[in-house]
Amino acid sequence: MKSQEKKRLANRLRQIALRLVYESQSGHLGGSYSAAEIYIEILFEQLRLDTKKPASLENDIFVVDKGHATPGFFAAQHLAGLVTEESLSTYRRVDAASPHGKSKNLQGHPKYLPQQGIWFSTGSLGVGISQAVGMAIAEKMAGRKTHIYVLLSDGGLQEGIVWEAARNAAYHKLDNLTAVLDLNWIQNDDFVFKTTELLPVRAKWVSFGWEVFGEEVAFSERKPTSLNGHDFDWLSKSFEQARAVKAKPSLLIANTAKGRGISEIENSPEWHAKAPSPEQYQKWIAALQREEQAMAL
Amino acid sequence: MKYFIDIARFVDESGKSKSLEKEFIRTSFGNALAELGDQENFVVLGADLDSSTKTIKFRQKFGEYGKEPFGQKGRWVSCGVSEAFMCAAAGGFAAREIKPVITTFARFLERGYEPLLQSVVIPGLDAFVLGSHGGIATGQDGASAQAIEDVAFFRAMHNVTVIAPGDPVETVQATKAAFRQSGLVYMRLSRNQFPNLFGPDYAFKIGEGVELIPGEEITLVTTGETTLQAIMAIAKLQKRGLKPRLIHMPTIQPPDQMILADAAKNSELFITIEDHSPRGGLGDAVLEALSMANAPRRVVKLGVDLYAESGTPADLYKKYGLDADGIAAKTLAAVETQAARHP
Repeated sequence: MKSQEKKRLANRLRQIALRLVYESQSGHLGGSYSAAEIYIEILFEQLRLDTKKPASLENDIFVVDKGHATPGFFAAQHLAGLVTEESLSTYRRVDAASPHGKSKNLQGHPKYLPQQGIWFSTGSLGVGISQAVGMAIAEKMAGRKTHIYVLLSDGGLQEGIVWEAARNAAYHKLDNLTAVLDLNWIQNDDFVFKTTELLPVRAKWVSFGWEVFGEEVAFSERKPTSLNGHDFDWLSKSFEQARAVKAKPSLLIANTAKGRGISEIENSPEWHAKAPSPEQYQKWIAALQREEQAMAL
Repeated sequence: MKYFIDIARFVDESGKSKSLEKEFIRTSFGNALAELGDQENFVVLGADLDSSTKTIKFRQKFGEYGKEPFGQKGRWVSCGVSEAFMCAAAGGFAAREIKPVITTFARFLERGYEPLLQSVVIPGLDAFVLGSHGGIATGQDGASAQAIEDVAFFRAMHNVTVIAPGDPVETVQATKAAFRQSGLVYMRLSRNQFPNLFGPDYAFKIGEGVELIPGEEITLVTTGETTLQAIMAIAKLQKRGLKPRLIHMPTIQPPDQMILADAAKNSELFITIEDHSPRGGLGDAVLEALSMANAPRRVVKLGVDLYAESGTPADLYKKYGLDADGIAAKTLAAVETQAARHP
């Protein structure tokens, strides 16, 4: 798929995610936007997936460890044909008619639902990559050629379980596992470096036995050209290289901007989890639509 | 169900416990697991305790994942000392239709509680969790290794079965039954050796309590390790003219409401005995079941309401009143206060 078409899809994702957060008046926009290009690249370019059979064990798997970024994730799943428009409209809403505990509505954080291509349950950071490691071993045991992708957040790396999973993935030589770190430098309370130190990133993963593509750029040293996580050419090339790695898991360090796509929220810790007002929604959706129209010209 | 045992098999005429052939119930579990491996599609996850949890037999028979000669067909997976990771990774196996068997000390499973909840229980997947070394019967390793809240942890989760078998025969049967049960099954084992309570004619069923000794007025309810202690306590109580009934409750969650309601027909006093905190374990399960059966009775809960210390299991049981003498003494005290209330 051409980059131009993927850019259009990323714009569509941003529009849908904005609508989801606006309509439910809750949800995580900033971290959905920083990962928009990653979502599109994985779902449209990397996953070997029969969207008519989302629950097939032969499909590649995408695990979103940063489970709060569902506006972007469900938007991408919708664009890929895995989540229906009707299902999208259930986001963060009670399903009063379903038996207790059996709601199939889309929750604020993803819950296991293979019928919509969701093989994991996340929302508590670090359990996603651990589940992915279990899946990667299971796939090798079963002799399937599937590949597993995991989206990690930077704040999430503060969870000790991530490093337990990282060590186990390398020890078990899981070359069917590729993680991508959405390094936007902002977490719930504040900037990551004002919460606790994360650096060095690349060196940590290399020392844990991973093949690493890309390198972190400290927030204060970033330039527009540093943001490889929004660059489809870099993402495509790096994922392809990662897939060819043997006997090791791989990590892509994607330097991104939180809230990318709407200037008012870009790089603003305030917009980790906040819903727009009606005025903001109208203004921003119009801007995204203009951008989409400009792409079509 | 009723499965009456002969107390004289366990205790001689002077009240001393007889020397009986015993087996570690961990070994019974390990043997059953190695046998089941031929019939069921599962992996065993280990966290550096395969000789303690007795999963080593399975490891040797079915191989270690990634190691020769089994390579990627090996079905014992080393997780290292990473219980939180192990519990979350289990959800990955379950999602891909391979049943995970999580194995470590009961105490260290507590660290994996939330990852397990997120990765297996909330999504509604199936897993078998083995917690060995339950209770102060763990002995000389001390309080850090003596799990006394594990049953409460697991019982609080939805769609979870909690089993604490009382002898080698029951352990083997419960292990097999666990593989036919959906949802999460937690099996708690004591570290120690047990004589057989049951013969080959016993048929364990999840959710069924077992009346081992018939009686009236007083009902003792036990699980796991405390059942044997209660048998010996009843030998002492019978000499004092009491006729307590003994119900062994191998399934703590869900408790057998029927057998308790039946016992309540001629029992005013229930004594629950567990090597666990008196909050959230067997004692509370019995209280809830009696209440739900509309058969409220006085329930005296014996358990471990503190953090104990190193010592042999026998010495610890003696000190904390879970041995035959302690159970008998506390039962007599409860009977006295009962008589004072209802003269």
